[in-house]
Amino acid sequence: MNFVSLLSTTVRLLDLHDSQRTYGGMAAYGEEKRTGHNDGVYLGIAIDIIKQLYALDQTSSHDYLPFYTIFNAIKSSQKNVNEEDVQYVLNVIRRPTELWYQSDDDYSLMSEKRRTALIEKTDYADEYRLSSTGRASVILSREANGASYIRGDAYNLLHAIEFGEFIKLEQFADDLIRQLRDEILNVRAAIEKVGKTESAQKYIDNFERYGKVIKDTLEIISKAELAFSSLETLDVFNEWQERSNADLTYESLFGLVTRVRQTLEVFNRAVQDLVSSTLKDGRTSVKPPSFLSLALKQVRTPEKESTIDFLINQWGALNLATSLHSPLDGYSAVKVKVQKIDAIGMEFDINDVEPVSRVGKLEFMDRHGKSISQALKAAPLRLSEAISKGWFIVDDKTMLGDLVGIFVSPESLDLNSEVQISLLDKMNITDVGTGQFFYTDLEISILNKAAL
Amino acid sequence: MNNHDLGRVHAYLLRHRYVETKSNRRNISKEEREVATLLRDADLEMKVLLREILNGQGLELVQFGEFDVTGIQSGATVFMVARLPDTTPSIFGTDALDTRMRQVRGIQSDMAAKIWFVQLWFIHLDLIYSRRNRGPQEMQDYVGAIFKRETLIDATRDYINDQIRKTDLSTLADDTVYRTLTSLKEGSVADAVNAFLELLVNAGLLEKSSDETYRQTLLSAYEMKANYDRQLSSLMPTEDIFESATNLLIQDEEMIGE
Repeated sequence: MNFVSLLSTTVRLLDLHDSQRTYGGMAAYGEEKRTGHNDGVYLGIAIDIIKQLYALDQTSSHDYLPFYTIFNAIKSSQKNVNEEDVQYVLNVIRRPTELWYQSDDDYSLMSEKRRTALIEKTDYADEYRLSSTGRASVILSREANGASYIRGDAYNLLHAIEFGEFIKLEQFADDLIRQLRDEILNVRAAIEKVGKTESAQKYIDNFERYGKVIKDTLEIISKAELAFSSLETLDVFNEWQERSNADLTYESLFGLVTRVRQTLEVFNRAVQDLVSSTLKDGRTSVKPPSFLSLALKQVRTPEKESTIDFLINQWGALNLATSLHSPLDGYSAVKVKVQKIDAIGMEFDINDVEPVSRVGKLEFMDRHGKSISQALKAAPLRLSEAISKGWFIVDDKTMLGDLVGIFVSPESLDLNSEVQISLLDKMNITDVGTGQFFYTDLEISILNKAAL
Repeated sequence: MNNHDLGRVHAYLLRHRYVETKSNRRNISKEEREVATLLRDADLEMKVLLREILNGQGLELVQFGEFDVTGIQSGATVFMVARLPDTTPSIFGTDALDTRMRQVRGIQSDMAAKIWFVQLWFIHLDLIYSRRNRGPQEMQDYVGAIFKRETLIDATRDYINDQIRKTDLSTLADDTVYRTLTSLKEGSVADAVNAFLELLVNAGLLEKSSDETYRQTLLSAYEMKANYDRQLSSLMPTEDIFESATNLLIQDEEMIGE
């Protein structure tokens, strides 16, 4: 049982439970008064008591053990222990203590006292048994056992498949992979430190055991893979998936089981590498070099420039030196400032435009103005009629715009009379030889003929 | 991965030398994730082709997963381009190094820039290896190889003031390095350290964890593990003869008179 992991966890959590530090105070606050008794005798007695009571708990469930049975068992392994010592330890571990903590759900304050004693004593006799917390402490201490006990976890995985508990299957597989990854990385670190630290010794001493554990576990995982790939499991999974709202697929779970096997194989290779490199080399670690001495040596007897160049090229901070330039390399590198030109407002140049306009207008009016005026005086005149008479052609030029201009602005005819413009709702089509005009016809008429 | 992707991956690796599919520690750009994923999912043939191309350039493609090295996120894969020993990769250049080191006031020649860089490099290795009692082959410990900028500046100043300036000039075979290191003013030492750190970060050999803290990268730790024996060990000063003899003759020290 690995009580050290359990104890070290408990001690630090207890430090925090008892801490008198004010909130917002210094981070470096410390108040440890634990001096520790550096022979571990009382701790040894306590662990022996818990082990004995746990063994009894396994054989005759929840039964009590008399004091002298406990004492004699301890005495057989620890000769210097007397009755008072054992009685003292029993008193300590059966004493409850009030613990304050926050609930997982809403961080509300909770407290526990009744269940904090590790053992229970009968009211009338000097007999003891483990409390539920005492039983849990043994189970917790067994959790931190390393790769030697992965077979049990692999069996859990297999049983989860057999019982159709797929959420647990994922959890067991993840736990196994995480545990193995820790071990693999420890082995890799140990390989780098063979001869320097004792970290490799654990694996070398237990090499045969590890070999057997890995072999057995691989067999169990192969069985798990076989069980998971059966049609029965697929049916169970499909039924479970319909009931459950878990985000799991058959393929992802199968991949997870396969990954456990692959991780085991990696662990197997890593342990073999460690053992073979230890047996072959005896020492992979070299003494940490003094790089400052090397720097000083370079001062006393400088290296040739070629050696310095070599060092920089082999080890230095180099960057890609490429002649493959891109057209965008210099993009926006040079900013050109152009003199701003003052914006000038638009001006209509009447002097130039008017003569041109007048020329066009006069030319049209000279040719057709009189005919249009006479026709209008006689009767209302339609645009279609004017077009059909060809009053838009001046020599070889088409001046249709000028003709339309007369119809939308008839005052240019100088008739000294009011002219009405009517828009007819009929679409007109006029064939002009080279093509056709499509337009809505306009009609102009003089309102007060009497005035003419 | 097709030939177009191969070119893209090759170009990215030469530029950054390190890609990973995902990380808890640093932000990964979309481009890096794509390149790392392309490489992870590539056919064996294409990977072999890329390895051969890189080998021809004096480089080695290294791949690590979560079970190989500490500090890699679960399910992630890391690819690195490391320099092979004895083959100076001509595709890399020292222009940036020379230019940046010469920006420090007082470093006026290429030779001075190189001397300063190499000396700072040894001091930084002293911090992350010698002082941590860490051997060059201990790659896995890179995750703890962290130091502050101020620590490197102090270590450099201490080295110059306590070791270099107190050197008996008559014992020097050549005073080039001595003059280069002692000619810099106190304030410029910090500038030189800043330039050095900037160069190592840009080259993927150091990682800036916060404003003032730097950590060795896996690439740097791997190159040290792979190349130390062939490259640096021969340059290390030999142990003092009397000290060696003492180590050989005295196996165990035993305290007497207790």
